[in-house]
Amino acid sequence: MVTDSRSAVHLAHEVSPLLQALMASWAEQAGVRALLIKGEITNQLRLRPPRGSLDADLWVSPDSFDAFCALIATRGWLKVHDSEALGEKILRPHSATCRHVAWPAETDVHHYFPGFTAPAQEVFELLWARRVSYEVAHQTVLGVDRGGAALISALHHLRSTTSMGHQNELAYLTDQVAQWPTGELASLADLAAATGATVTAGDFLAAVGAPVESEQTSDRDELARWEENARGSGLVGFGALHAIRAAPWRQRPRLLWRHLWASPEILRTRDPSVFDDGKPMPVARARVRRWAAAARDLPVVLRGGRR
Amino acid sequence: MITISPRVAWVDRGESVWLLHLAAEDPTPVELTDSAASLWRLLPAASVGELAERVGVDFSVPVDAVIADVENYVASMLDQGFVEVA
Repeated sequence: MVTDSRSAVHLAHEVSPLLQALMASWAEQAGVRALLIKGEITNQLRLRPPRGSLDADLWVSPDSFDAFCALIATRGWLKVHDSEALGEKILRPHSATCRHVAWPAETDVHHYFPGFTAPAQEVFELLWARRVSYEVAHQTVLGVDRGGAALISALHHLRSTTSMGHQNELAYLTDQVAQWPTGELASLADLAAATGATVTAGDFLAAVGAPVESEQTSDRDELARWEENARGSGLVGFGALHAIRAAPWRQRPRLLWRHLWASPEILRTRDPSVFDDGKPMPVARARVRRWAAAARDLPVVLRGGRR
Repeated sequence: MITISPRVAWVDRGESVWLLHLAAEDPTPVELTDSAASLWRLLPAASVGELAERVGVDFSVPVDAVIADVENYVASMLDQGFVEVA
C-alpha cells in the first residue's frame, strides 16, 4: 500500500503512468478494446503543458464497458459514486470513477466523452480505427491518435469555460494544434464532423484553422445538454436547479433539502481546501461557503445561466 | 544476464523509481529509493559481479564491500518478479 507523509496528489502524480499501463494491460488481456486518453499520451503529444496526472483515463468500447468495470471490480477497483448521487449532472454520465484502497490515483473508465454527439459506439469505432501505440511506463499501450487526443482535450476544456486552468490549457492546445500541417488539420475537421463535434468544438476548430466543410448530424438532445452545461459552467446551484426541475414534483422537496444540506462527503468533494486547512468545523464552514456561493450566483442561475 | 522483466511497468522520478508488476495478483506500486533506485538504473547487467563492479565505480567503493548487498538486491528483485536472470 502506498502510504506516507507525502501528499496524495504528489503520490498520484508519481504513480499514474503505472496505473495507465496497468489498465491498458488488463484491457488487452481481457480482449477488451480500450484506448488511453488524456494523461501521459497528451504530455507526449505536447498537447498540454508538461504536468503529472492524478488518474488513468481509459476509453473502453461501449459494448464492453460493463464487463470491464466488473473485471476491475474483482481486482479491487470499485466504482465511486459522489456528486452524481445528487442527480445534478446536466451531461449524462460518461465514465465510472474507480478507486482501489492501496492506490493514491484513480481510474476513470469512459464509455463516451461529452461533446461528441454522434452515437457513442460510432465515436469509439472511429477513434479505434485511428489508434496509435505509445510507450508509457516502459510498456506499449494503445491510445487515441494526435487528432483524437486534440479533440478530446479541446472538449474537456470547453466543458468548463469559466475555469482559468482550463482556459490556459485550451490556449496552449490551440497554439500547438494551429501549427499542424494543413492535411492534419483537415483530418481533424473530418474527425470532428464524423463524431458530431463540429458545434461543440466549433470555437476550437475555428481558432486552429481546421476547415469544417461538411455539416454534422448532431444528436439534438446531446447538443442541448452540452449547451445548457456550458451556460451553467462555474455557477453554484445551476446543476441543482436543473436536477430539481427535472424531477417529479413529489420528489422536489426532498431533492431541494439534499442540495441545501449536502453530506460531508459531497462537501469534501466540492471544497476540499476547507477540510485540509486544519481549522475547526470544516463541514459547517464548507456548508456556509456553499450557501454563500449559491446566493451570489442565484440571480444568474435563475436567468438561465452564463455569467 | 540480469534484465528488467517485460511485465514490469516503471517510472524514474529522480528521487525514486516506482515499479509495478503487471502480472501480480494484486498489483500495487513499489517504490525504490537511494541505493535501490541507483541499482535499478544500472540494469541490465551481465551478472551480479558486473553490477557490483559498476556500483563500485559509481560510488567509489571496493567491489568486495558491496557484492553481498548487490546479491541480496538481485535476489529480492528476482523473488518479486521485477527482474529476470538468464
